Amino acid sequence: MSLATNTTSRSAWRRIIDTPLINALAAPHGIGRYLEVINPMWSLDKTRIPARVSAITAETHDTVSIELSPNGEWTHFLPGQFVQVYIEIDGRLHSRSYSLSNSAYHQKPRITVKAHDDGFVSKYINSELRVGDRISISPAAGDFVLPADIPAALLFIAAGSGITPMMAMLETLFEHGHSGAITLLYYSRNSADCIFRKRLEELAQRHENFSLLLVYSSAPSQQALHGHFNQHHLLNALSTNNGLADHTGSISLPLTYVCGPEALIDQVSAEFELLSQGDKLHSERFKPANRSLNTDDISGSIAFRQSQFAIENDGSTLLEQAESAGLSPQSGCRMGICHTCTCLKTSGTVRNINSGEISRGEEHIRLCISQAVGDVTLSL
Amino acid sequence: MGKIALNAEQLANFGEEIDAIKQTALLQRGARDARYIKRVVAFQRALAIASRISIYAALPFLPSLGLSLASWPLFWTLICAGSIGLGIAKILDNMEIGHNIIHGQYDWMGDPRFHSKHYDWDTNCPSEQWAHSHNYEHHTYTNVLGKDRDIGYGILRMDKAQHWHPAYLANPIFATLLMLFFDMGVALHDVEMDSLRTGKRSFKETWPKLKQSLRKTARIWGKDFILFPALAGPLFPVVMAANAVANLIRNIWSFTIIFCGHFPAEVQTFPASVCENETKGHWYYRQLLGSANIEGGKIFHIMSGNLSHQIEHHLFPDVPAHRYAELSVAVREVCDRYGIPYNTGPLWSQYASVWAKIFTLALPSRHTGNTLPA
Repeated sequence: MSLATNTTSRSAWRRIIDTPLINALAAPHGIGRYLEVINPMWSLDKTRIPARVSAITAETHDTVSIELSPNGEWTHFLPGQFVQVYIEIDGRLHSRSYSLSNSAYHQKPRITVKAHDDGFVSKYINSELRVGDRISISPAAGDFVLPADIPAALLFIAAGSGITPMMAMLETLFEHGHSGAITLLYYSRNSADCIFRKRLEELAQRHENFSLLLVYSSAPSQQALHGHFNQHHLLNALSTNNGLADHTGSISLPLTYVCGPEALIDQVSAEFELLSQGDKLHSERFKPANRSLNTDDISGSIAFRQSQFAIENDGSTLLEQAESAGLSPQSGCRMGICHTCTCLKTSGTVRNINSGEISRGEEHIRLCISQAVGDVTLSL
Repeated sequence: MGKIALNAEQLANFGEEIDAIKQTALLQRGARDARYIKRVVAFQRALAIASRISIYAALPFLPSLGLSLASWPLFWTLICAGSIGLGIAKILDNMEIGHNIIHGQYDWMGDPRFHSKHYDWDTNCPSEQWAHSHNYEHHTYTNVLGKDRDIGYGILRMDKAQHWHPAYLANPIFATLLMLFFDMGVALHDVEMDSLRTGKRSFKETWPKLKQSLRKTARIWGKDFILFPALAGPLFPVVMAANAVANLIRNIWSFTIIFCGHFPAEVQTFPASVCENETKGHWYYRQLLGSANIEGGKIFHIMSGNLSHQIEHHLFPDVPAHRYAELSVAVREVCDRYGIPYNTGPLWSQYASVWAKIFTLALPSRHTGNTLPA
């Protein structure tokens, strides 16, 4: 059984106006840069698609779902994929990846965001974002998706906000009328922290082929399922969708998707490896945010993505280190004024040696005045 | 030549004070700056569209068409409004928007539309070449003889330390040509055609940048002198002329503002030796002595891309330029305390001083003596 999701093509007027001749008349900016001045939603940008917040739903005390109305550049997504979300806060665009959490049949994509204690953007989304605000999203990306042919049995294992991509998969599968066995093993601290609890219970009631196992890590130990993932939980989950033993009696695990913190993915992987079924497992890691910062501590490595090698961080500026590693990035004043050495940092944290400013995550930085704080990846 | 009137300790303290002004400004960057640049861009784009429309709206009134609409006053009003408006739109695009964005003043916004590495401007010079010749060479080695190619742009004699040559008798003519074709002058600046002429560089070394500049010129001129005029059919020459006037307005204005930044009398130049082990304090000091401001109102400052605050621009090239006016108060106060001259004056006097220099330096130094006209 295959899943045909909703794909809309780029609207007609966009295709008519976004032509080489019209763009040549609007050189060097392109016609889209003029249109977006009249109405930001008329932007022709295909990598940063403007989207209005059309609805906000509180899922738990610290998690909200944001429904978005992107413009005609948005086409579709596959359940399990994520978008890069760009939000302007005090003049600066902040970007974060969030999995889409609703059915891929919907015209309006939805993200679900849990506010983390040290999460600047996730806290902003939870407490400041309002219906009607405009943000931007990238086209959907990621290969944490269902196969073209959906197998008869599926197992989903999630913890915390790791439920979001699975929710998109579940909603899409049920809307499609998928009849195969689906089991969800979902970990939260307690029932109040359990994102989508009501909706999941509703789906479990409505669909006989859906087995829902909610596990609360803080639940009392006399409960059947409690604590963190273990083999017992896995066996319990498998017994619900008869995936454990086939007619020959050999062990066969269903196609399994796992998403959540590092520890959960490691434990599940170990269990699957033990049963020699590692090929059945798809996993998506949500990277933990960078926490402590120690400027005295020179550690980590600097990876050069295009050159495909890495060096140990020696504490000098990234420009000096790149040069001593034999690279020749563009550079000029070497004091942070000319911006010739501006380079895309794809991940990691750096400190501006002039201002002490910290840059986290994907951002353009000036190599000559940037010092690595731990692991850094540059697009050099 | 810039002789140092401050001792090492004073220079260091002076540098720290200027640094503090900069750090405060950088910390304050935020929603206000983002709103400002977005508004200027929105106004510029709207003005460009309205002006282009005005040029076409003038055409049916052209009496030679023999239509019942025929009216010279309406034709001239609309076509002049269109040309002047388009000229202003190009000035805003090149100066307050392009020049400042390419300096990286808005890189912190994290928005590619306002990012130095992504922004391209509506002029013949590829923004990438500009970033090299201007942001790096000119801003790092400001007014250092032999290093800052902005001293005379390889064509003019703008400092008496430049050796006189009979060709410089044409200094005023070259300056006038540069003014009229300033877009081309800027486009060829980083190509260093003068290095090709003197044999410092081979044609093979020069070609990549030359090709890039010619391509960009073809795009911009193709738009203004072929594509847009073609939309007018038989009235092709009318639209072409209107667009040429817009480009001319931009060229004369940007030449005027830019020449007033470093060439008025009393602006100092420096020998290459100052760059050896130069301290941050001395670098700031050199920027101050090597730049001149132009006085004016708010609209004048915006139209000059805030290069009317050339001094602040050279001290803080990557601080959003709309903040220069408020920063200038603190800078002047520091200059007063250290006794460092702060060169400022109205446009007409700075500009007169520039042309006096252009004419005087056309002659060999023995005719001009050691002093330059004030």
